[in-house]
Parts: sequence; C-alpha cells; structure tokens
Amino acid sequence: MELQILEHGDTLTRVALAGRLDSAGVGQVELKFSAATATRRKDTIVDLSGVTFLSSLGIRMLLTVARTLHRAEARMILLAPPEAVLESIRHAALDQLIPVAADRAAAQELLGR
Amino acid sequence: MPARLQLRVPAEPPAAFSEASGQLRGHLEVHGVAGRTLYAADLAFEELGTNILTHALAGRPAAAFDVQVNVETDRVRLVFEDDGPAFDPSAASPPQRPASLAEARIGGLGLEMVRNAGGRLDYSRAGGKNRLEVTIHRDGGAGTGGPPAAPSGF
Repeated sequence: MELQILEHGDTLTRVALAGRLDSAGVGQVELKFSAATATRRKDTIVDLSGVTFLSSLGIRMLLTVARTLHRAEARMILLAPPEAVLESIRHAALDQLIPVAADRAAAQELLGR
Repeated sequence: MPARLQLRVPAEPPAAFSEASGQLRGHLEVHGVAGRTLYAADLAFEELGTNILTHALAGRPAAAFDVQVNVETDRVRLVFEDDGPAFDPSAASPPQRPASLAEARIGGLGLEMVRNAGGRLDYSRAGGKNRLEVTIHRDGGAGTGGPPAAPSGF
C-alpha cells in the first residue's frame, strides 16, 4: 500500500493512495495518511484511482479522517475510484457522507474552487 | 466437481492472513473466477476472516481458523470454521445509516458490505465450532457476480 503526497498547499491537500486497502494495507498506511491529511485541516482530495481493493477497515480509515476534517470545517473528496472500489463505497453508503468525483475538475468544483 | 482449496489460517503472525488471502485469489483466478465474483469472494474472506481473528480467536495466538473454498459452475462457496464462542454474524442487524459525518459510527460495516456485494450468509454451530458458509452466485459464465443488493446503510 502506497501513499503519495501530491499537494500540500495553503488551502488544499491532495494525496493519492495505491494498492489494496485491506487490513494489511491499512496497517501500513493509516498513520501516514492521517498525518498527511487530518492533521493539516485543509480541504482534501484523496485520489483512489490506484486502489484495487477497499475493505471496511479502509472505509473506516477514510471516514475517520473525513470526520476530523469536518470538525475543522474542511472537506474531503474521493477522486476517481475504479468501478469495483466505487461499488464498495456505495455498498457501505460512504458516498452519502463523502462526495465522490470522477475527475479532478469535478473534485475542484465540489470544493467550490 | 468443484475446484476446492483448503486453508488453515493461524492467528499469528498477521502476515499469515495476507498470505492466505493471496492464495485464495490465486485459486479463484486459476479457476476462471473474475470481476465482481472475485471481488466479492476476496471481500468475504477479508471481512469474515478479520472478524474471526479479532473476536473468535482474540488472545489466542496459537489458534487458527479454517476456510474451505469451492469454485462451482454457478457459484463460489467459502466455508469458515472456528472454535471460538458461538456467534452468528448472519443474525446481526444492519448498521444504522447516519445522516451526517458527525453522526457516523466508525465500524460495523464489514458484514453489510459482504451482503451488499452479493454474498449470502448461512450460519450453524456444531461440535463446539462456528460454521459460516458464504455463497456468491456467478452469472452467464463471464465470471461476474449477480447484481449487488442496494446498500442498506451503515
């Protein structure tokens, strides 16, 4: 499981996750992901295009950070999940809590940028 | 004749679970399972296996659970067995759907995701063991699962 920091701007955080977000993958990346996103308290775009599998632990990780950002009045957008991962997001009704954007332009629009 | 794989997954080390997950996926792929069916079986192993390790085998590093994987013409069946305390996951109520992030409860999603991905759960208890069978139907020979159920929420 890999985490790439794409942008740490004054008003926006962009990161990309790649690999399997299963129990092992979450264990590898959770602390780094939280440090790169929740602790910055900025609007955050999480690129999921490289994620191949999403378990409930992965959803819990995303939800935990989104909730922390929400308390800081910042938002999280999930970007471009592959179809199978998008189905997992829908099966957990996560898309009703964290917006999902098909591309970066749509993500920026959801953030009002 | 189903293509069968028998896995014994020890509680420790944690890497053994990942290794078993890889063996499961390899077995399914070799026998032509792909797409939604593969993903749903992968998800069932991840969620139900994690539940067993976290609850049924908690505090017992020398314990293990068993999984039998059967690839059949029209379905994939995973049968989990553990000797932990009796627990019927198929009877668990669906989690409540939160209205907002602030209300969202963290956790409790795994079983619902397995069900919504097309997995049917059948539980029994015999000989001091929990036995949970997950059935995932395949369709049209294309290696994809049946239509997933609508999400019933958190």
